[in-house]
Amino acid sequence: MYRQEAAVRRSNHVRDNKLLVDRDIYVQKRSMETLQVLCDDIVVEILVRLPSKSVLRCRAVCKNWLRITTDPSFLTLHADASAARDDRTPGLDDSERHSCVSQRPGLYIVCNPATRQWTNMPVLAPQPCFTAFPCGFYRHGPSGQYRLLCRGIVLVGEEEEESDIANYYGMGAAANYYYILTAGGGRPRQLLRQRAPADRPLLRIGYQVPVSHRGVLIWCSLHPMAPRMGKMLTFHTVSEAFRLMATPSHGQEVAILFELDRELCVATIPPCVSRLDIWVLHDYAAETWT
Amino acid sequence: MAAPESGDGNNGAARMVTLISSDNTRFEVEAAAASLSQTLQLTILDGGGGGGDGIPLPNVDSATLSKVLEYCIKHAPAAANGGAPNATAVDRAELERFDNEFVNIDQSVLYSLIMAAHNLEIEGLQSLVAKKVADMIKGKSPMEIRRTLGFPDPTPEEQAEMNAHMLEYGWAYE
Repeated sequence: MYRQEAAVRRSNHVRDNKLLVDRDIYVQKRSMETLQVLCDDIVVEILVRLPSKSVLRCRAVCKNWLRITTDPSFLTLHADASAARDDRTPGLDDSERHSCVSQRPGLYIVCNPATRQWTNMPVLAPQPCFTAFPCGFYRHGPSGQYRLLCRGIVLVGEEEEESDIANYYGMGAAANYYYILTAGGGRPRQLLRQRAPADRPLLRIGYQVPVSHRGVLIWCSLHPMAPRMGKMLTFHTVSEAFRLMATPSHGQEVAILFELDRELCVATIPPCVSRLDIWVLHDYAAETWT
Repeated sequence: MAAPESGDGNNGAARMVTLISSDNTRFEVEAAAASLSQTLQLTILDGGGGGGDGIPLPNVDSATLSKVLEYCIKHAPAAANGGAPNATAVDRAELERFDNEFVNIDQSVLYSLIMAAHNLEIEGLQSLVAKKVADMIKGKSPMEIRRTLGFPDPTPEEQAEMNAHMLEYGWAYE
């Protein structure tokens, strides 16, 4: 019942506005003049179907449209709708279209080069003595949010010296956690302690940039045991869990990890250095390489 | 909670409901067609709209309601089948042709349809008309969009903002 009341109220609202607009001498035709005063839901429904360039132009149409099209919820809807239209693999192309940069330690911003917009990630500073290293940037498929996986290092008992190298290596009781920062989201979220954590990052250098392949972030040499076991560390961006994956080489160091023609490839250098082997991931689930 | 009736009523004939437009015109339609509207579906499931009662729709006039019902009657069989699975390619092509024809209408009618589809929560119709308006906007400059949609002429201030936007985002206008 209340639905109908709401609908009546909405229509009265629109009718009142319509009267106002009708009196406006500028209005020549009695056609879609009230599209300007349509409720936000309808405008969103229309604009979300437009390509990015058109959305950008719509920002200049009127103040109301500018407000709607710059709202984070609209941008998320629009990104999802575009992804559905183009039938692209989420998490791969989208994180390529957006980039994440560090402004200063602990503060990251996400930009969309296509619309030249940017937004702040929440600041990662749950404790005073804290250093965070960004591990990988990705788009969380189900929610459409842009997220940054961070490795936080808590230094226990040593205050305000977190970036001091001597202190870094000297600490005995350091606790390591992973955090996930969400663009436009609330506080950083701590991942439960994982069984397959990565090596401590090298200070100043940080982590190597992971390869993003079909919604999975992959590093070839972060796990302390991984190179010896012939494994690679992977992070699934939907379930947000770590896993170790087999590499094609046995006992050989993985040299380069890259993506070619949408296939994950690994280049290895066998003992006779005159050769370079390139392996292609055949089946992600079965971890078979050809 | 009763399952949505798919057309075969208790007495063998399809169950009918009566809808009353804002100007007091009565429309009798199959419950299955009217149930494409999420708003009406709840009332119909509760057994409303039958007999002499009718469901009043104070915010939809008769011209718009008849257009809306034309859409619902056409789409009801496909919706009863759960959409695509049972539909043949011919049926789908026919629906698509119908949809294209359906929104090829005067802007004032299109506008009323948007409002009605939104108020009655008819998902398919909502996206159909939204897509139509989006197509009207696509590729146009802000000024052309305002003219197309019948916005009042911009104030000098708005005009200045528009020009500034075009200067700043020139690449979006290429």
